[in-house]
Amino acid sequence: MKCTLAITMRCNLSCDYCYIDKQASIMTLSTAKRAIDFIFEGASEEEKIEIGFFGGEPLLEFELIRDITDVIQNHPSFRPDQTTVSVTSNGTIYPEEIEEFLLDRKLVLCISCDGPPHIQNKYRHFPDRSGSSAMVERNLKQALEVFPLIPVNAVYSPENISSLPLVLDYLCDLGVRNIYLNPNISARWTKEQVNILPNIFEIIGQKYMDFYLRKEPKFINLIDSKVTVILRGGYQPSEKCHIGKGEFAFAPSGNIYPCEKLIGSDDGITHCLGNINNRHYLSEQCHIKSSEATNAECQTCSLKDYCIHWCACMNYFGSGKYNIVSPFICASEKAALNLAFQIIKGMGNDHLFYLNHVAGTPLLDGIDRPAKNKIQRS
Amino acid sequence: MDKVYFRKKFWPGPYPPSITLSREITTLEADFIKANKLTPQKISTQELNKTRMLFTTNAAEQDLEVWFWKCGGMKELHFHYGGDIYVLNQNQWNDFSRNLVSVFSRKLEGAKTISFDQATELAEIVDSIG
Repeated sequence: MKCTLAITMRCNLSCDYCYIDKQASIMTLSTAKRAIDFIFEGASEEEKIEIGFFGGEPLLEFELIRDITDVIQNHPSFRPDQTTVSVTSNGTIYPEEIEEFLLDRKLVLCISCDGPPHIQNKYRHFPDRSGSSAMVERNLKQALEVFPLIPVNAVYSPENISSLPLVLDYLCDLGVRNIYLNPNISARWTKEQVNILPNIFEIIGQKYMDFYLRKEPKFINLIDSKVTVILRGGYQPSEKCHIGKGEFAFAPSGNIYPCEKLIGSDDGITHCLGNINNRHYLSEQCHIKSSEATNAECQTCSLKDYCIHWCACMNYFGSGKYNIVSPFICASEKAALNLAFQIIKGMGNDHLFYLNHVAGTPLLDGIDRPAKNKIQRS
Repeated sequence: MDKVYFRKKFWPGPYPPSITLSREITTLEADFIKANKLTPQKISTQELNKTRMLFTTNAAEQDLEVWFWKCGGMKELHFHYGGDIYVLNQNQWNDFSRNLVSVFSRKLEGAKTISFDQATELAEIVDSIG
């Protein structure tokens, strides 16, 4: 069960590619409580539960995050070994108490940063178009001191795809080890831009290998996740998107969407499955299900088990349909799989590389445990 | 348990997905076990879990930063099949990993492509999404 709580649609940034409309709305605690009940009621005992605080910028409502975390962790069905709670932030806000809170409550903080200042400031700026880079860099450095494996998400757009190696260099220079490079899915990717993906990915792969051989491995999602998928023989049912069945996003209004990327303006109509404050409505409307791609090419493609053709929101942004894969996703997946396969072959008989990826812990042998707290606990 | 050990490493991030392998990979494992007459190590999943629990408790007593214990950690050449662990020697591992790689190598050869010829029509839809 994967659920996102978009606790506010307020945001202090005005990023060019954001798929959430900015509004002043803030989730009430009673709406959050209903959402939490819904999550725990819907998840089986064996199922992992992932709850993510999202926005807008969720750290604008830090007190609300604290309160909702209390609700989650005091819920009768809460089990710490079953439930992961995360906060996704734009990195411009870093409250003084956040580190202690995250450590004590065992929450995972994820920060978005698109790379060096000229890229970050271009895409992730304040409403007056002033850049956010300096602020994010400062906060990220501070966070890395306590959370050395903090996941950082960098979005690449068609216009800056050639700069992706620079983005990687920048994040690695800052000390980031858990790197998620994700495409701007709402952009229109041309054939020419897509054609250079394999070359760009190859450069990323060379850097990845260099880091690995220097015993400073980085987790890079477009490589590591695909290595795991290849070694496991494809995505397994539990790993796929289950929108409307096992994946939900709750807007501040209580409206339920199949995925946070589909909240949009929270009009309660487009993609909306119902409202958590009016539960019977949910059961009638909850008909959107994750589905297989219907493209003719996908039906006979031997990589079908290894690709994310089932990701409904990616498909929607690329083709306007939940189950039609765009040429960009097809090319991007193929480039990533090719790269991961080259990496696997390049690792030779390094069995730990294999074993750790199959286990789903690719950095297990490259990291030490988190740095001892710089926070003095009383 | 003498051939199995865990290192004190911690995974402070989101849970990776549970380990589930495709039928193709498990068949490959089964065939490999049969061909090489492998026998499972006498370490049950239950025992492994017990070891993990003990390790986690010890770490907690030492006030180490245990966030989430995850699977993984066994350093020996091995694979899991049917709830058992099969430990391999280097030659066996070389053969097994070669087989594993060849599975995907064949897949790559049969990959199809969604053509950009459809892109004009799709682009109009995407633009209308805004």
